Amino acid sequence: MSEQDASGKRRWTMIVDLDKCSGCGACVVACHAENNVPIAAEDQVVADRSQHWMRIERYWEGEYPDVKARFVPVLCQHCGEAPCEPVCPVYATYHDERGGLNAMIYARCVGTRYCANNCPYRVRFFNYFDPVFAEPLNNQLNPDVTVRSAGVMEKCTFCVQRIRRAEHTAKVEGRTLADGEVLPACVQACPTGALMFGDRYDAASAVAKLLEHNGRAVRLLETLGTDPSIYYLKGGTSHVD
Amino acid sequence: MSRPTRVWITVIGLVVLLVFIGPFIFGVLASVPNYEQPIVEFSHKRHVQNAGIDCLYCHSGATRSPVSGIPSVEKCMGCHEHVLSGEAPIVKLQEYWENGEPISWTRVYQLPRYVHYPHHVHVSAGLNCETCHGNVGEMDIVTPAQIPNMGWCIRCHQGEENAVELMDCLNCHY
Repeated sequence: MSEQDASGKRRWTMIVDLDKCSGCGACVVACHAENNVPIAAEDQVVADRSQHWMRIERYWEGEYPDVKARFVPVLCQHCGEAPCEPVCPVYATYHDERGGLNAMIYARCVGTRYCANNCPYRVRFFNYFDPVFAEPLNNQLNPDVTVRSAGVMEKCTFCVQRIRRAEHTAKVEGRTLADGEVLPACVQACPTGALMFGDRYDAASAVAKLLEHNGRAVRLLETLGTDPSIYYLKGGTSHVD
Repeated sequence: MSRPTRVWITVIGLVVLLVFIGPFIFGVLASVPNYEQPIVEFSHKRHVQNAGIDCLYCHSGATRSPVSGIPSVEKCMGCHEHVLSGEAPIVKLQEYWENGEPISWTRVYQLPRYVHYPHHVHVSAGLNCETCHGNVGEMDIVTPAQIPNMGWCIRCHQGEENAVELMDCLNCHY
């Protein structure tokens, strides 16, 4: 896990400490607010058209009376070998070499939905309708993120608008990006500090240091060979493996 | 051909012309963008040439933020409380000020959807305002110097040293 890259490329990585996650859902709310993610009505949720770039999966563990609730926040895993990328016929989703992000270019998307069908993590969402942000919700839309229209696929971007904002600020100030300068909305909102974000290729970053020789780090469905960028630190009795 | 027949042919011809060609002409005229501002008398030329004000005095965000910004009514009043305060256009401005209303200026440069353009990065890379916006100091009513579409962006970006990075989709589209 101590990969080094000389070309100045980054590999944005998130660490989710499952022992710290209390399942409060602040990350989900923060993500909705930051990324203008539409809120699906009840009938749409029933039709499997809900949209959450980030979701909390809840599992019960153990037998009564010793029952524990376990929470796993699941978002786009930003796979190094993403199954969604090769199936897109119009290159609307492709791999961003600069930051290791799984890029989604809305303007190119023609809505074939192949990517969502090929995603083993089910983190891609299709806009079946133009999103409606009823008054006064329309006033809190983030101007840094475009509201996606009908017929377009969307998913977690690792808050690329915040990455770009930090990169631009660093560039204007004539310095390189510091570790911890980029904070996706979910990471910022997490009250227990269960989420961590940084560049894994930078050996001095907190993320790289934490992952080095960390026996607790696992990735979701790692056997598929998708090389995800999200690491889960499992607890002693956690079911994730 | 008798005279009445010719008159009829002319009349029918005109009706056909109106019905079929009229909408086209109307459509073309309607699609011509109108850059008239809520305070019609506002002139960039006057502010730049007569008063010698720098772009950045009013559009101060350009060096430090993605948006260059439109000055607030407060900023306008900062000068116009004293400068030309009795004149008709300034009285209009004072009305906005007294009612506590922002001026809804007409947008001149409209980027396509899904595109984000940071002003500060371009200014720090050494671009002048005029490079994209034309010589605003010569314009009374500002009209776009060019349509800001992707081909126009690429024309600069492809010649740069880090063209691969600059031409990456995710660089601007999110």
